Amino acid sequence: MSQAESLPNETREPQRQVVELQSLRRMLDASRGSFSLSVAVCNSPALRDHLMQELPSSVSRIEVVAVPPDTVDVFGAVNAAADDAERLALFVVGLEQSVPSAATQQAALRSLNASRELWQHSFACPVVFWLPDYAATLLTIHAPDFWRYRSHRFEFVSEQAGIPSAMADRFAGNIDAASGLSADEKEFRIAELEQRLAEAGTNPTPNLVPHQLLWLNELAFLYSTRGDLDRAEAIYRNALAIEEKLGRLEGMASEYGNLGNIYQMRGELDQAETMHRKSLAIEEKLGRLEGMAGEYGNLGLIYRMRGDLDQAETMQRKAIAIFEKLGQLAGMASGYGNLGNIYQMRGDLDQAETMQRKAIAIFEKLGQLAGMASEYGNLGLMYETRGDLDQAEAMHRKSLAIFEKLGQLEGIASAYCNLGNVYYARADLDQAEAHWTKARDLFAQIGMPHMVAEVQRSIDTLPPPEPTEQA
Amino acid sequence: MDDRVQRIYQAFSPTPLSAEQTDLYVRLDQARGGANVAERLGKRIRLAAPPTCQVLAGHRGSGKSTELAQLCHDLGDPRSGEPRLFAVLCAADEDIDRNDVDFPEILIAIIKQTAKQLKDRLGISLKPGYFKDLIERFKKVLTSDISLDEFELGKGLLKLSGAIRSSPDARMAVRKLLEPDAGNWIYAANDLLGQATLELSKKGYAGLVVIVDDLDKMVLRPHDAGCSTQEYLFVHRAAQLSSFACHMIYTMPLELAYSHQEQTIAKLYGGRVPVVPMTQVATRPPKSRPYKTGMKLFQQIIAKRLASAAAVEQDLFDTPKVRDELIRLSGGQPTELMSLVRESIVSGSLPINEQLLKRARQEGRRAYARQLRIDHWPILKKAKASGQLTRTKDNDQAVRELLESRAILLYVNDQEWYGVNPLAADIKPPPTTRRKR
Repeated sequence: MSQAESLPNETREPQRQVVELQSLRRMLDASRGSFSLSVAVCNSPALRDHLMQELPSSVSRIEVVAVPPDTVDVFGAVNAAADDAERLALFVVGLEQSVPSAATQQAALRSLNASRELWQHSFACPVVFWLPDYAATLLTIHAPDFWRYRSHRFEFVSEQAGIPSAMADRFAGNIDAASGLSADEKEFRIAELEQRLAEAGTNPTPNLVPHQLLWLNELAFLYSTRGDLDRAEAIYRNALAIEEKLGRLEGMASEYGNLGNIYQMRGELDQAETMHRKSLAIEEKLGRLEGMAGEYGNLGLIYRMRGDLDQAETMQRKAIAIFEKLGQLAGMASGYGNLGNIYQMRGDLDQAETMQRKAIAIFEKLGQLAGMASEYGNLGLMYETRGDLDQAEAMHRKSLAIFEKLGQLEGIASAYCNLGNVYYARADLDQAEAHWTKARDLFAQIGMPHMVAEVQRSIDTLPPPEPTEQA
Repeated sequence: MDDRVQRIYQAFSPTPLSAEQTDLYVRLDQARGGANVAERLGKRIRLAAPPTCQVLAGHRGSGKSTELAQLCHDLGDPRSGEPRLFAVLCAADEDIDRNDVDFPEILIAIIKQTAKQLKDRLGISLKPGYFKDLIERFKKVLTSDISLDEFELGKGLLKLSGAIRSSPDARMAVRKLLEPDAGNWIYAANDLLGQATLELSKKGYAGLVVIVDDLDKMVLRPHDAGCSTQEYLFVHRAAQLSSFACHMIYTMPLELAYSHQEQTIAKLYGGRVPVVPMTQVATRPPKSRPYKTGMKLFQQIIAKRLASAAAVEQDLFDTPKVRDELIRLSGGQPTELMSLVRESIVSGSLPINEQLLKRARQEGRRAYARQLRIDHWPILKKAKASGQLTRTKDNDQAVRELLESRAILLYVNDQEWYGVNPLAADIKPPPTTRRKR
């Protein structure tokens, strides 16, 4: 077994891709000024774009031409669109949109096959067709003569083409369900998970290890929602140690990210940044764009908390750009919401409103009620800053109604707290106290002592009730 | 019909063998090019640390289900020294409509059948966990009369899967609810599988394997996503099909293993697409002769079935020649052999003689003659003459149809080759009409 074979898959795959990228660079150098035909197989358009960005350090001038959907004359379309006479290489992308997987008559590929001779007369440079796996296979079947002309085939990733965002779930799914539990249910769940972990033991069988990691992560998440950050940190560190021992890079990236969130919640922003950057470095190494986008978003939050709004904006825009390429609408919506908050801090309330409404529209389209509720809350805060207390109240009530529908107690408590702030701003102190009290009691019910303390501080600022005159 | 005939008829059931019917099982690998498909699937499971997700393709009737049942048996009762695994053989046909399959129904079928088999076989009851909350939400969207009040995981899912299988509206409602929330569903499912793995470890099992059979039979239709329904499920839904936290095996339509998606599928499911080939009972054309190894194995199958019916070969066959001709006509498909025997039994009185054999052969031919089109004949002719298939962009669809209908069968010895189903081989092509000049 070679050294590469003995490595875990996750380690091997990025290494292989690095080697492929180096080969592609070498080909571009070697073929400079003369025609050559290559096929680069890459199933993810987002990763393809990322790889193309990696290239210019050695090849300064690459012209990228996108074939329009449903094209038949591929050569004609590329020839008409390519207009950079100084190009050192030509990358053709998007051909798959003219190569339907199910069709038996592949008109675009047939015409490509017939146009074989034309390419070398028109392009005195390396031409690289970027295609997903299935289209590369169809090319071999339906354009065999063209295929025989190729000098190279580069393979970048085994990820599949065009998985809609809602389907591209991580192995474990997600733990949104845990955040919807009431305090009592959380206690039961914590007890259940601790029992399972105790039964699995410190050295569980290999088949139990993936489950052990899921349980540890959910447990840490539940402790963090209760404000017990020390215990959450200890559990995440335990999970990180297991991932490190197994050499599972993706898991390590995820644990570093989780630790970053804990530091962020504590306000230890330097530590938080260190953790998120560690996570980002691994995600970059693995070429996991979704993970990278998530970490850019987290770094953006840290910069915002530090007041470095320009950097915060840069990071959020990076995250949005990747989510956009991946077609991950939910990630885009979160990014827009975060951008809205940054604009609000800058005092650019119109822009803030635009971004938050953009986020709401996407969450609505996806049917993601929790996202909508959070953004209505943010809109409420924005109206409050504008001094439009009626609109602020309307937004917080919308947010409250959705959280109530979902049974998300933490969201309900936050909405009550925000409504209390609105009444306080109106000097309606009785209503402010009533809403803050509801919020405090709910935070107590779901086991978030740090939030109880924070709301109590607001209640304590209220003047004591005036003594009633004795009869 | 006397008892003996009834016993023999029942012994030749074309239904795949269950894991317990080891007395009827005959290992056919010797005549399948040493494919050892079940053994290889099992080995990958035993050697891998993280859960594996594999697919298995093969002709209908090639013995996939029997091999998978045998794999279940081997995993649960391994040779000395190997860890014991709990295998759930999930007959998807019980819970899904093969005309219209998508991931949500598969997820529910997997959880339902895993919960049921754990309870029935080991007395393990899984707690519904996050499923309780999620299924409560179904009650609000499903208009059919489902009461999940007395919620217990097995019972609740039983009712739900019943509604999904029989009602297209319920299916749509479930998909609409699940789609934007798939991450939570997968988490809930994995939480249950984790619970199951832990309980199994207490009973000495080193892991859980779920085998989803019958997906190879799903109906080929165009999908809204611009591909076939089969491609949609196994390629576009691969991220979800492989998201379960236990070892998974799915059966897959053979046509997909011979399509342009083969490479993609191989990468998505562990690097290769194993195919269960037909058992070779004749040698490769052009000089096709009986293949002794395969013939002997099929004779063993017959002997074991007869023994289970307390009968002997003379009770069933007039002569060994009749027996061997039935084996030849089966083309190496165990289920076809069973059907031919049953067809002959109901056509007259035992033992089966040349006359009854002739009827069974005619019936089989008639069935194929109705399916064949004019553009199928050149492909059949070439396979019959050389054992080869030449796929072109013009005949691709016709080749797929012939593979799907089992008019052409795939065999493996040193290399893969194709044979024309003996029942289709003797059919004469329709006369071609010439235009008068």
